[in-house]
Amino acid sequence: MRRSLIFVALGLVLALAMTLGTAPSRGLAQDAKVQKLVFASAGFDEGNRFWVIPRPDHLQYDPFLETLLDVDPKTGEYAPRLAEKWSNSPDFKQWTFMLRKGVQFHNGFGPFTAKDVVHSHSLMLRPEATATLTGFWRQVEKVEVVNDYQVVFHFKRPTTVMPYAASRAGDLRIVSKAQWDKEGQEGFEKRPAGTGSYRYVGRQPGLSISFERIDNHWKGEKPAFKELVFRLAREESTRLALLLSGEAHVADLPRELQKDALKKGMKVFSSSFPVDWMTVYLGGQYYLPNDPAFKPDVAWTKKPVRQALNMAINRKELLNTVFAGKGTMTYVTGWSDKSEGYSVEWQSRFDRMYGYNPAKAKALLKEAGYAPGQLKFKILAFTEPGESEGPQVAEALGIYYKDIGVETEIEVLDWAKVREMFRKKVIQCCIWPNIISWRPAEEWIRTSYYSKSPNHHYENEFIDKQYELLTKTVNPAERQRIARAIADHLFEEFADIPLFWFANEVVADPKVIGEWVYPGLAAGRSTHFNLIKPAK
Amino acid sequence: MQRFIAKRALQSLLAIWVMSLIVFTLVRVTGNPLDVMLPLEAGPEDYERVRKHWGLDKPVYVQYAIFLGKAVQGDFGNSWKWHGHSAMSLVWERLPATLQLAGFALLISVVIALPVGVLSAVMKGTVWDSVAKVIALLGQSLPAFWLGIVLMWIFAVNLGWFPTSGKGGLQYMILPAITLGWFQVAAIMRLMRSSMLDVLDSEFVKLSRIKGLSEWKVIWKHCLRNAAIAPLTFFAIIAGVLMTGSVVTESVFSWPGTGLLVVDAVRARDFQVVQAVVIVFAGIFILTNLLVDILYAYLDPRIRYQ
Repeated sequence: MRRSLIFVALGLVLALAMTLGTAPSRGLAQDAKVQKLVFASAGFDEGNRFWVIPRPDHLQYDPFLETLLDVDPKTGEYAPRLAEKWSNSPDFKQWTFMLRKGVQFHNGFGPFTAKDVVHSHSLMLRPEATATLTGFWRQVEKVEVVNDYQVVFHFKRPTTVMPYAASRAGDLRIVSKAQWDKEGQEGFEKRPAGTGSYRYVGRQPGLSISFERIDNHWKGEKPAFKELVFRLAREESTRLALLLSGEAHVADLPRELQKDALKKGMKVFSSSFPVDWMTVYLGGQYYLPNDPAFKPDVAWTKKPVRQALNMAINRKELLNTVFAGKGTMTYVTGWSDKSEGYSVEWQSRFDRMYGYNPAKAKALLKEAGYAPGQLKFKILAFTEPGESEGPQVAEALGIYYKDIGVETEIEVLDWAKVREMFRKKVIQCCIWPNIISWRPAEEWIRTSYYSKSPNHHYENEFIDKQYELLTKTVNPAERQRIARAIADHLFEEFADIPLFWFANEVVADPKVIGEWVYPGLAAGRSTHFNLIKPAK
Repeated sequence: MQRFIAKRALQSLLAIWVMSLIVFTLVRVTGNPLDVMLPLEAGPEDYERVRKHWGLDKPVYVQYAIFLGKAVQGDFGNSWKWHGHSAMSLVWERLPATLQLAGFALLISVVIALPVGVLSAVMKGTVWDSVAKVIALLGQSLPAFWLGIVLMWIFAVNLGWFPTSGKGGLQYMILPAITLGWFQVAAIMRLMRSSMLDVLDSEFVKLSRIKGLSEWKVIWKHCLRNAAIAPLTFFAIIAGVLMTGSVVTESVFSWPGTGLLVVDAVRARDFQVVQAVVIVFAGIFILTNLLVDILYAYLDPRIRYQ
């Protein structure tokens, strides 16, 4: 018995020794030349069927599936990519793309031609398609092939957002028709052929996705790292551990944990442009005539209450405490200086109209008929992968509102439940902070304020009429005027509680990564992996 | 005996059917999957199209009938999140990783808990016993989520002995297995201790000592064999608990098993995968209990005649 126990003990010691011997050596990051760059991501909807994957999750395609147009990492402007040139008809109903010659698909699937564009677009027409711009692509009446290197998209109505949709910010990934014809969907699923400077190698479901650099990219792009791996880690602390242990070189971390990483010598790489904004929606603002969902007893259907709820918030303090000071003020939800209709005047008037002033907020509530303690409502909070601050903001709002005599109750739900509530117009009870990514103004108005959209936030006849006018207008100056009128209206009416704009931020080991310029506006946010420069 | 087995098997089938009804209803109460699948840009026509595509336009009872009809054939439908994969294929693909982790966690639990439990009983009232009680207390009270992160920070980030997360060789399994098995260490240890105390008081132990057997042989050979029966019967339950308890551990350590799968599926309202995982887990639990019942009945004839 004693002898057998000794053998068991020896066996365990040996196993442990072997384990430690084979454990990944620490400090890979310290190696002079890292060949395999590992990006620890909060995770995404995994799969190669880009036509069912939402824009933010297109991160997984950015290294290998290209688009017709690019987004310039420094200026944010649309730039040639697989299309050398593009133009629109005077009525904006036809968009012509002149395709680049001499581009080869990976894995020997031949040259890129107009057929591949038609094929890629046809995938957006499949019944299961749920990609972000599926609705947009389904408005295309036909894709006309003029010749191998020229295609024309015909739309039913004037379309000004085509460059956005066809660019790296959109979701039309160009895949090989030849591969589809030869191997079918099964072959495509296994090893999709793209034209990017990385080639798809494979996935370990739930764990990682791997790419390898190609040596003959059509544009001569040569990424600094031979291999690229996206490691999926849902838990934020796990991603931080991956980064600090050297198992990953870049990590997608919430702002709160970035501080811990910075203390350990890591560096933050921000996108060139702000990409997400946080706003607080006020449920139940359905001002179209005879809308049965409109409840006049909802406090914030009164304008002074909306202004009071805005003025109760100390935005600077909120930004510093919850977001570590990383963000910029937003004046009208959804409008950045890259949006049609943006006005610099909002900034100068913002402090007077929206600025922190609890005394004025109390007076406004009194004016609306609410004595201290009379107004009570719920704040809904939810988190999404990579966006964990919702509940903290909800708590902060609760404190600010208590200071002006408003009682609140925080309810934590998931995003889908909140979405269902505003979609079904049963959210009059509540307000909710939300982080949403940038869209062109027309798309934003349709998505958020147009009453015929399934999302119901703030609706009235003025916005509906102006939006419909905007969709028919192609004159840039006129479009600016209409978009500005809508944004001005939202600003004047305190339609919601605009808070902050955020750039996309990732944390990286500065011993491995020296520079990374990316716009943040492209689908997937952390993009342009080919531009990562190694540390010297 | 055959009648007993048939009766128990029928009860098990009934339990699985009830479970299918519960999980089918509950996942639908949590909300509309289209609100996760579709982007904000989606219009009413997109909702209609996708609803129809996935058969969500049919009345709920029709959906249940279709689900049940296919489920009895082992087909739980196609995943809504992992396109191109059937729900069952995802479960089978991820289940080995969970079994591997649960098995290793069970091994670690036993290797730690049995000797500590024995020592605690033998050295009752000493410092060793107190240490064992503290281990038991910590095991029962430390949340797996917290323990996992602490272990990761100490042994992976600071000492660099193990990888932080993911799946690979044996070294990837140690921290998650300790996290997963730690709670069971306490449970088995306490059971072992009380069982051992009973055995130590029995007549045959006194006789063995009188006959001059060494204390080592008395404890580790004769007492342990008799005292181990109670923890062994507990293993069936533990195995089930370890598998279902892997949800938290797999999330912390990004271990690509069914636990992580079900977390992602719940977030994505992927009803098909949630249903498949829950029913497979329930099936394993029910089957294990059925086997234990049969084993008991075989060992103790009184049970089968009750």
